[in-house]
Amino acid sequence: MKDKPGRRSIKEISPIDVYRLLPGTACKECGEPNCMAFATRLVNGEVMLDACPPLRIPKYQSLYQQLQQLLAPAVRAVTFGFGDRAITIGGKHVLQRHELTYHHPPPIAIEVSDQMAESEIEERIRKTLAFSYLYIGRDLRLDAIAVRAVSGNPTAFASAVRHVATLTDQPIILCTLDPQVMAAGLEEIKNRRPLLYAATQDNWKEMGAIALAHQVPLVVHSPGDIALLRSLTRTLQEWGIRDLVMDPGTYAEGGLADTLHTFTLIRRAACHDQDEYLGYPMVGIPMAVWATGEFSPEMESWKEAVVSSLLITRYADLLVMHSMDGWVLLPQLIWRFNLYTDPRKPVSVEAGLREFGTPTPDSPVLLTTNYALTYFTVESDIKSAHLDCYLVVVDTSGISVESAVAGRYLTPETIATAMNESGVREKVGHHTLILPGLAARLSGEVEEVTGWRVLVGSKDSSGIPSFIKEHWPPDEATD
Amino acid sequence: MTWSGEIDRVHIGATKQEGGTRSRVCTVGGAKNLPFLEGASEMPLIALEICDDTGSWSPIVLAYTGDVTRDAGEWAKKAEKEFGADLVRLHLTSTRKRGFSDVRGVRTTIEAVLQGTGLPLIIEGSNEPSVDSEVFSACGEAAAGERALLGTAEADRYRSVAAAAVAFGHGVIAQSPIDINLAKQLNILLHEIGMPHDRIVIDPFTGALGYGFEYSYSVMERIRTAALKGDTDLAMPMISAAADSLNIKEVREAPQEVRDETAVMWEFCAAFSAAVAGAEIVCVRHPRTLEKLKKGFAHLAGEG
Repeated sequence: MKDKPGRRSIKEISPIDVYRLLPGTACKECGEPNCMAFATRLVNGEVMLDACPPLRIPKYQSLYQQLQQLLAPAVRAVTFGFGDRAITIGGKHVLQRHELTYHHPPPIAIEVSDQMAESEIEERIRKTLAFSYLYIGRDLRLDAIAVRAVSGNPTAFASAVRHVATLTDQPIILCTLDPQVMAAGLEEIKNRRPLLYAATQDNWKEMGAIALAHQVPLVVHSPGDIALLRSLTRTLQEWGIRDLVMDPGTYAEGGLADTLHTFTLIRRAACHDQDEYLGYPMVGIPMAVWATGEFSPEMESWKEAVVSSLLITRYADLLVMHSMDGWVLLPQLIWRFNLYTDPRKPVSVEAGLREFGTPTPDSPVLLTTNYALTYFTVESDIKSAHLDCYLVVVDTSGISVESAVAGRYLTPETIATAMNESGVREKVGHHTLILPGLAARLSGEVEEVTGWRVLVGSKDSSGIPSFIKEHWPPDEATD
Repeated sequence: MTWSGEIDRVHIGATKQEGGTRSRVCTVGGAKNLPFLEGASEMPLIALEICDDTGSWSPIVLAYTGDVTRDAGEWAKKAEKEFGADLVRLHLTSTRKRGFSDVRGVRTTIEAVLQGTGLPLIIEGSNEPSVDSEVFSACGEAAAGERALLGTAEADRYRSVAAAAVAFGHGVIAQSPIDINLAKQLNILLHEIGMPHDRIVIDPFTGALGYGFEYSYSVMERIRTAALKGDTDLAMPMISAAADSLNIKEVREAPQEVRDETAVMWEFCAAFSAAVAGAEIVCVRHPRTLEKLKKGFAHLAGEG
């Protein structure tokens, strides 16, 4: 299956290989101190080629192309949608997250159909746009709309697409296997670069012609048949269509094992065997579980959640979903966000002193680590209780309290250093520090090293408000 | 891909013929490749977690499970007969109270649980060094002959639990803080004081989904990959319990009418992904999560 034995995975490329192809202007416009540093970050998948401004100058065009080829991900990156709302899917380099990092979190498209009443379409799009969840300082949202032609009627589909386009500027996926219906729908939004779903064994010529004529990306649909899928992408690619997405088929329940297996085999072929015909992004269709419609909405939602959770973990680059329930979507959005963070660096916040409310020299001093999840949880609990206090954030290399204590990142010494550097000693008139409950075992030594008295606070930051209420100001008698 | 390593098999529970009273033995391990990536995989086992002092247990679970939560023996019975667990994981939460001294009560609880269920047991003892020795030897002795899994050994306090496991023929759970090197180091320490490899289960520490689960997920993938490449000090089965899942803000603050659903979904997602990353035993607290996982794992095995 190896088509281009010369192609190498990004893990096999050295920064020197990249450095040799950079313009070498040492202009620092990319923000790095020198070109070698930039080359290293490129190989680490931390920055993209376009971050080097000189590469965009015409005289470096050949270098740019060589670099693009050298650094090309095993899974091609495909963009659909327009303007600020355009989204890129795929662009993956590795099979396992810890080998490098995953790029381009899979967008979630919510489906509507041309058989839905106008009011229902409006309601679903309104909900899609309004869905928002603030998680460690990030806004988690739904990304796109998939319009399905259920009617089989070009006019009805075109009218639904037109309606959707007036309601949202999110990227749109047009879903029909009938080329005539597709052409009618695409006509309505041809300047918005929608994703066409889908070309099959039977319609690939007509669908391919539409995609080529309008220069829009195309999904290739071949449920459960990898060989056919590969021969279709190969044919279309040789015809000149490079922006392809693959639908290997999504099945719930009894078909779950096969679904997982198919997605995995394809991604392995792309990442390990450098098979360029399988090196395209994959779309998972958890909404397919609703097709039978024989169970209660709650049961169907569960099935959909199980499939989407599995496909986020295993290689879907785009998901089409039906359910709009928070209990179904929220865990998926959080898992997607987490899985796509860079495993080489814990999500951390800056260490130092934070002030909440209007603290005075008598206000309590709390302490936590600079792991983003820990910090934002503590922050949110302090803020929602409207406490006036100081919070010392210790640099634990982005590790949570419990792990930082065990791994010796949070020690009496690092706590003392953080307190000295934060300037908290000058801000307050007292000498009492509230340690997180999970760091209780450090309390004696912290008292010795810092000279401050330690109160052991709650294990969970949700207990901070009641802890402060009961224990602050501290009772000097028990000192 | 061809791998040189293989995961050790660990047996939990002993039947009458083997000197215990369990109705079955759970065997975990034996994998020769990455889970679900390369052909057939053993389905993970599901442990239902119970406790002997419900003070800090999720009110969502207590409300759903009902009155049996006041009696660990009855709770364990229900875990087997009604909820269909593969194992019962008993947390001796009573030992975590300040000034704990009721070691006799611990024995009674373990005996009641052994009476209540024929399932193999995982017993989680104290987490306070000053009572570890007493508590773990009581656990070991009360379950002598049952080939239980005792928890939890950590880098700075593993001696008491390992001593009890060695003395009474149990296995141990070796927990490290989401770090492959520390996991390996602890396994070596345990081995040095007499724990055979086939009686150690790795707990890489599992954060709740949204609260660090992704680190646990990746460390599980790394541990499994290292083991398959031939690192025998990491070639033990893994156990995963995202124990905090039901206490997180997203679950606590979910609207009343979907709180139960959210709780179950949260436990499910972490356990399901942990299994995909390589965990052989996943632990949950809500009985409905257990039901959903059983179904999900059956589907992963290709069963309708």
